[in-house]
Amino acid sequence: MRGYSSAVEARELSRDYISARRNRFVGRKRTTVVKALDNVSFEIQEGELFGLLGPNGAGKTTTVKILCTLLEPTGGHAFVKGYDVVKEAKHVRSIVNMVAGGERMLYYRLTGRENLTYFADLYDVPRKEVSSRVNKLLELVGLSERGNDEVEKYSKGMKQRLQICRGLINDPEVLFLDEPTLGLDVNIAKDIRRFIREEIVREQGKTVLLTTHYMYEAEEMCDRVGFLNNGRLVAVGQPEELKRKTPSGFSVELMVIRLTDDAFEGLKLLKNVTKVIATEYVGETEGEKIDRLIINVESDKAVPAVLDYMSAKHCRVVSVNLRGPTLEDLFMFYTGET
Amino acid sequence: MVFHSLRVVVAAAKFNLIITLRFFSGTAIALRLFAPIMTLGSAWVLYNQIYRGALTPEFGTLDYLSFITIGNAFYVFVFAAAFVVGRVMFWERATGTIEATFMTPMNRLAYMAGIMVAAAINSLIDFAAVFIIGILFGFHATSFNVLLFLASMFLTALALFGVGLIVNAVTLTLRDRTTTANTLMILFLVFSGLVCPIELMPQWAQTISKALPLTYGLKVMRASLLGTATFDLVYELATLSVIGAIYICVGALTLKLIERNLKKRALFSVF
Repeated sequence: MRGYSSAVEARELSRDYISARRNRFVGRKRTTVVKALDNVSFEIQEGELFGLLGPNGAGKTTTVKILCTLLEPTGGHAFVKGYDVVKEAKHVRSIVNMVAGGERMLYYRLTGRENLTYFADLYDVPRKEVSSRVNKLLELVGLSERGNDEVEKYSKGMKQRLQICRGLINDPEVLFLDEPTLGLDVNIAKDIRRFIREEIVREQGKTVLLTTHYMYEAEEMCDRVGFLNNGRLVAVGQPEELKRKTPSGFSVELMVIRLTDDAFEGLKLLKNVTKVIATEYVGETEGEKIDRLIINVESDKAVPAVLDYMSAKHCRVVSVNLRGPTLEDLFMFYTGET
Repeated sequence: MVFHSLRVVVAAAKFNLIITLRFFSGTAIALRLFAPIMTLGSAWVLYNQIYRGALTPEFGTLDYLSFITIGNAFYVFVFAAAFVVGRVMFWERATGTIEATFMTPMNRLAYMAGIMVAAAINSLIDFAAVFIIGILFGFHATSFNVLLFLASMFLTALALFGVGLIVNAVTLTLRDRTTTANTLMILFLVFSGLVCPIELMPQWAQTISKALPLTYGLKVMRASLLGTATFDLVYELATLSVIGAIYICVGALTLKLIERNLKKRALFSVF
């Protein structure tokens, strides 16, 4: 094994997508270039759980696909355990694996056990270990009793758990998890998060790159995070470190009934209010809709003024929650998304 | 490396056969018998009712039903060998398994070979069915040279494997497997001498037929079953081997280029 300083390293990684479209059946094609990744550089240390966060289309999946050799970068370099993902793709493939939420990546007409055995053969897992490893993985994700059923009979959550088994079948040194809990029930997603954190990272010491746009997931799991926006890496660090550096101050979360546009716009003009960053309909009470507001304030002293203002505007505040910045706030700060 | 490749061949063949066997049904078998019944039935009508049993010397035999039965059996084999391999990547992409499969460090050629082995084993049912149905319509083997029979099958299969690898590029580029398969099947059907000897075709058509491995394989198989060895068999087998080697080399290169192209153009998961 060659020497390397980080388990994963991206150096000025870029990826352009070119789409060509003809206006009519004949005529010249018009090409459009979309920069999915723009000079992205980061490192992931051995045994670290690194979160790559960003809105849809930020470049998270593109980064993962480059790192697991499914996509070639148009610029820059990437290394896994010191191996170049383009020039030494075969070496990289033998030490990584990837699980993608919402993607199929399994043979539905084979059973769970057959799928894992098949991929064990393709990864050249030592024959003596295949059976025990398959059984262990099925047991770890609670699929032992359904291992001999065809995958097409599995529920979505079971398929996702089997995908995680497939991702671990070659005992990868680096595991890429691309939205692994996408569309799963709360309980199953929680189990999977716990499994990744406790078993894969803490017990087995594997390096994991997780992409997600669920901020609570990243907050719960990641040692460090990076924010991607429009293909650019805009911030990298430990969540607590980023929170300290980010001038988002405190946030007041208000649940409000009878919120008017006028009241909403007026909030932004109040003293010590830096940003009203979100407003969304969250439910109803007594036949009236409840809106959720997240208001960034410079200090907790601004809260009484906010409440007085809402009262003056005849908006009924159902609940008030004052909190320090969360990853969600950082996400909004760095990506401008609500 | 070699052992891993062999393991991949066995795994791909085994699990593809499992999938086939798991969903095997009487209806599926009946449907698979339908095509040879119709083809040989039509040939029987043409030969007996329209042409009244008249054949030119180019056929090398006066028994057209035997001539066409062998051609039809080979046609079934071609489909399995060339076109099942030819649509592997298309199928994997359509079912969403291509990324998981091509993310592994397996040898791609070994993987394709495994799929072809499964398809060829699966096609033996159709292959045998054609001969059985052929007997009902009048197929009669005047000789059976096992060595020649197996040599024709094996060498043609190798050459068609190369063809299948190239077909992968066409199906992926056109994003269509049916039209591609049908077009190529017609090409093989017309120009390889399946229904009539290539000597009866115009010169330009004979030039095309010389580039198709099936032309040589079919001649050898007919010789093994009908004793029509009126040509230099060594020459035919040698040509088949050389053409097969060329197709495999071009196919392997094409496969490499397809994978590279999919990675460059971000088309692995696009369907």
